[in-house]
Amino acid sequence: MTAKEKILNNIKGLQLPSKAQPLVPIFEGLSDDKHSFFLETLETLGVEVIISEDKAALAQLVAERAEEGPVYSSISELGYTNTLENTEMADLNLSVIEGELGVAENGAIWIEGDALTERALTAIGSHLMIVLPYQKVVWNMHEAYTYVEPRQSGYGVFISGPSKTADIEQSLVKGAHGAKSLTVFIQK
Amino acid sequence: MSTQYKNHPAGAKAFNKNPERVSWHDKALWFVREKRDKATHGIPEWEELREIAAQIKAHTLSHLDKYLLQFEEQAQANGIHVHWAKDAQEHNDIVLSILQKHNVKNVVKSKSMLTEECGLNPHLNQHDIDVVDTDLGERIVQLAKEHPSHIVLPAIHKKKEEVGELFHEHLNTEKGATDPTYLTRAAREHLRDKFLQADAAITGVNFAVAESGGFVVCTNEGNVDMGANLAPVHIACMGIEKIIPKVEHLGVFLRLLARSATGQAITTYSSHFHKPKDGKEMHIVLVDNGRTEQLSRDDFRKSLNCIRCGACMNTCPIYRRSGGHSYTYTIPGPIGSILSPGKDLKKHSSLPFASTLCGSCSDVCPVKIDIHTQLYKWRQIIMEETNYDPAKKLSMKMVGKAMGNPKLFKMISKVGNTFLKGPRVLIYNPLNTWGIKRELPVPTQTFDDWYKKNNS
Repeated sequence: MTAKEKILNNIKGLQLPSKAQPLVPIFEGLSDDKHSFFLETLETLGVEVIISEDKAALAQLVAERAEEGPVYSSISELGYTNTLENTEMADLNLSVIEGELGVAENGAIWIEGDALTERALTAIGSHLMIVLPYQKVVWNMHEAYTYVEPRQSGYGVFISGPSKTADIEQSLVKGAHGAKSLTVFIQK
Repeated sequence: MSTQYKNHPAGAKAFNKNPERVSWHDKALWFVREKRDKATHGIPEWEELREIAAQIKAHTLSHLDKYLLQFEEQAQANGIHVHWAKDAQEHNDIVLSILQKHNVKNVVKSKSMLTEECGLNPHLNQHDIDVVDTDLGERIVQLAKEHPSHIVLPAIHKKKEEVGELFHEHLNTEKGATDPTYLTRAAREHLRDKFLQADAAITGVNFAVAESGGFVVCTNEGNVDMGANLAPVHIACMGIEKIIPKVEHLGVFLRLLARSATGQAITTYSSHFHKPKDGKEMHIVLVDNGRTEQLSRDDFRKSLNCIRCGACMNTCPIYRRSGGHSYTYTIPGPIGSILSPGKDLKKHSSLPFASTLCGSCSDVCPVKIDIHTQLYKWRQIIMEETNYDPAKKLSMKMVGKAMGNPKLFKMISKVGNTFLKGPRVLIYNPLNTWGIKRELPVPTQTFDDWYKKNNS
């Protein structure tokens, strides 16, 4: 008998009484203003937030940051490299990627990993910038999963803030393995 | 995998040799517990979420065979290789064979309590494969040749001075350096090299979704997104109880997990893997290792609800004051103490007694495991079936006799009262553990006298 058969037979043999699957409601928001809640959450997560109605502002901002070091961008209009080798990725100072959906309750932003040249670009650059349209914010995770279809992208990730750790005496340090800082550029 | 102590009292005694450290450890964990409280109080539907989560788990466990098969079918359709392992040995062999097939020499691993449970690292090391734990806390305990003392905060027992020493020795940091930012950055650089050189990545799994055939791993550091995405081969190892039926259920569990664990609203990275990148390989190993046996036990089935948040450890007055290494099982604290007796009743017989049965663990559990009730039930079984602590057995028998005999009880309580009023040396001596480091109250009357006076 294979391990699979043994495991499944063990379970079947128990003939456990069936328990009902609960319905999961999409709960209410946590205040009257979803967007200000989202922005406040990002602030407590140590995220730099820029809100702009001007499309040129993003290009200008990225151009300024490009003076500090190599930039990757999944937004082709910005004109930065989007094909990279592993070693080049490790030298990136900034990755600019697009966010699909923001979640107000926890500040998490959904990233479609396969929209990027390499999946590791969600974590490997020293700094990360996520560009998110203002309208694409939901209240909570229940609502988020009515839009997000993780199976459609082979890899996707909710990112909420810069990479961090508190493994040394519970002292919070930003920049563990992933980005040392996160900038969220919200396009109105 | 277990710690060096033969039972919990021995481990707790060793930890308590340094009272300052005990107090520091206690406070560090209570701080995390308080953050958890604050985070949960911000969610009006918190209790409803716990109830829904418990129901999803109960439902899944009642159809576990069906959901495992559905998961396998969907994962294979996504291009993921699925493996089944009855026990730790099979799990280790499967992982080794995948690595050998690809001629892997360097593996980066992100936090996985399952691979700790199975003793994977030593197995791979024996076959000349280098395994680097990449979670900072896990890397610290790996360099110290220890095991995690907590499932979410693996190095919570370590002082920054000790981390500084370790890093000086292994990562060439400055001698005497203790600044957490400096040390973390040094580890970042050291581990970046490992990520870039790795031939394969091994990760754990927080949730595997039957309907979509993918899985989610949660970290704050981003080590999963670095490791699994850079290496050509990704192996994810999971206990079979990590299955949930639907994608929408992720919404429930991701809201509960980080708030319960550290008081964060969500972890920094909640990484969803469904398909390998073109030209790369993704494997999942489904591991039983005693779980179907636990599933067969009516009284203990619910322990399989566990989502490994660690909230029961942070709140436990015994865990906080005895440290994770005092437990004889990979998973310490209250949850470990109800999971482990089912694996080896004799070896872990002291663990269900490492509790005051205060019930705080059950109160904070996000999936409503009745932990303290299960601890109590394991105690009954252990006293029946093993020779655990014969002195306790004898004294309990005597107490039972005295309590059942009013005349005897009255006499003993009178004598007891006299004792407590008598010379201190009779109470405060090394033979009486109840008198160590505390003052016992001196009653002014016996319960019987009090009852007669107040019940008229």
